[in-house]
Amino acid sequence: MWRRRRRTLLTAAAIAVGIMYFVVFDSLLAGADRDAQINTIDFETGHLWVSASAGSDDAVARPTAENTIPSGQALAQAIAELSGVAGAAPRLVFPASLIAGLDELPVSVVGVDPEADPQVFRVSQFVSSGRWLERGEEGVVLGRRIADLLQLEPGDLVTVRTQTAGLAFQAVDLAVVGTVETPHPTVNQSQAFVPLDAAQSAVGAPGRATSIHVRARAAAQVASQRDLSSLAKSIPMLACWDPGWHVNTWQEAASFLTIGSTKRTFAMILLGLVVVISVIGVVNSILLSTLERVREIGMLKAMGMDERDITAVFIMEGGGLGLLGCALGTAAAIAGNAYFVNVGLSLRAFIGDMDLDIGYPIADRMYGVWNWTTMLWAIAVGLAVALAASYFPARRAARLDPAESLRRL
Amino acid sequence: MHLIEARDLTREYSHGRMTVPALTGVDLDVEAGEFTAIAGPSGSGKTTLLNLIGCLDRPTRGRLIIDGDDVSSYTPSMLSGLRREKIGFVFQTYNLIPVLTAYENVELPLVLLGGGTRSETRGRVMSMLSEVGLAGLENRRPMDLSGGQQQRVAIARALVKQPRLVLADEPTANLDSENSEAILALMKTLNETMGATFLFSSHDPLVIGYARRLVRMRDGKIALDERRQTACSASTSGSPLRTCGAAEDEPS
Repeated sequence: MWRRRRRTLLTAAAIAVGIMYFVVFDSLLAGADRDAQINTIDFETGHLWVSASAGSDDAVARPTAENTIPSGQALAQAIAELSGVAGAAPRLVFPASLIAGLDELPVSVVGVDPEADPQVFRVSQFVSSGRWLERGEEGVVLGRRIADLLQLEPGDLVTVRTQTAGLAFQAVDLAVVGTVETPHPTVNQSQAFVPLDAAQSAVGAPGRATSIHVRARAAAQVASQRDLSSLAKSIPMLACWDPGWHVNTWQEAASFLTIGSTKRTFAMILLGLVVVISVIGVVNSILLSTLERVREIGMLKAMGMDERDITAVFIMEGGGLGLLGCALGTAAAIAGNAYFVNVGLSLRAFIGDMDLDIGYPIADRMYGVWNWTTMLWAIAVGLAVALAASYFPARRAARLDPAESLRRL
Repeated sequence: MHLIEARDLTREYSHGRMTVPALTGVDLDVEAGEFTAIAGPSGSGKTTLLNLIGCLDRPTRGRLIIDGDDVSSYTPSMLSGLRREKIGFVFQTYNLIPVLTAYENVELPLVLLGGGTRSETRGRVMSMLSEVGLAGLENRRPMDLSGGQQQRVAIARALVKQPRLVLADEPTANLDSENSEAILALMKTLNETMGATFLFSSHDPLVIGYARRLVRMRDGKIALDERRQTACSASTSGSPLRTCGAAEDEPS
């Protein structure tokens, strides 16, 4: 194996690069998945949410009597008292335009209970300027990107124009009290938070909420499906429950989960590349090795080595190549992954200053995760492929005619 | 019982539609312990005969009996086993494994044979290297040895497993006359001391002069088979042509 060091190292390096790419790519996707799940729960839905209409509709609709829950605060309080619930908060979400001077921007206005909302969501922890909302005030907290586009800062006034349930246009002037910059791009790009009563008044829906969001008490950040199922069953047992309402889990809003198969396809393509690189590298290396050693093979056969022994010699050489490639690949994958776990991959480097929409509710930096199972898989595949790929040239060498081999120059 | 018994041994090579006979109906008996030279010009069939007797090739026709066993019907695996246990080879180009040391090259046949303990193996290898005059050079790789030294390693490798038969194809063709003589003297000594049967091919009169029996080949057939009363002894110094006066002029 070491007779041609450069060739051996090049082949091993090719296998190593393949393994490293596969491991790092899988790590980044798994990291994006994890962050997206956390962001969905922490900034969009909570663990569960109750709505007047079934399922999740990505488009924010104008609140009507049909798609809102009356007495949202009361239902939230009742849910918050259930065992296993860490917090419950009503939200009234509707489409609106923000007008600042000559600039106008379509946004989703999110009416929140400034005190209950932080028990479910983490938006209030990401105030980048000014402060979070207070109950009863005529103020608004803007996503950072909105504030930048409209060139608004805390203290400025902004007009919120919307339609009431009766389709009448209504404009309300609110003072910007703060901005938020969260790890969830949708919040930063399109959400404006106002106190719930101000929101209800703006759309003429007093007491109503489009949804009640629930955070479960769970040790893990992403509560287990079993915890959520039992909680989801206990909510409709409440006395104030209306059979027309629905309990939804966060997964129903997580549209990114449906692109899991695309992710798996990408991972398989990369794994396929590892296989192709390994096969080409190892076959080439072992084939050249056998061609260079024809006389030696003849001599070994003359000494009494049979076909099986010769095959084993070259398969072991291929296995050695695979092992070296896997060792280098694992070292490179650990080093590369450590970087992405700690520093992350900046998506801004690829998309510049554009708004981020890659189908994942994640910030502009992707972080990797440690997935030792993937690493073991990559090593096992690299090694198995190296062994399998060396079989063909090894058999070819083993079948050489000894007398003919010894005649070769 | 003869060690080698060849009857009507024929080997033909096919080149497209043409069939070229390399060996035609050769009958040859070799006794155990003989020191036999197969002489003849290039293309006379020397190497083909050695390849067939060494079970590296199969005859197109004829029978070959080695040490009492008819090997004509042996499977490739059985032939490998026979070569491993009973036959040692020495080649013109030494054919040592370049990445192994002299010790490891000589050790290889014993490793393939299996069975012995590590200390037994070491003892046999070191003793064999000493027999061929390479004591102290066991850790050198082939590229660090002269041609003569490499051929000594090859001889040690062929003999370390104490085979019944040693086949040497032009063993001195790559050596100068001084080294050739030394190698021949060594082979002769080992033939006498270890009792191994030597069958070697050459067209070098110096080599032929050492043989007790000369088989001369021409056009794939045995043209002459003679046993000599006197051949050059291993202790003879200088040219065997001078001391024995028995060698004939060899056509080139």
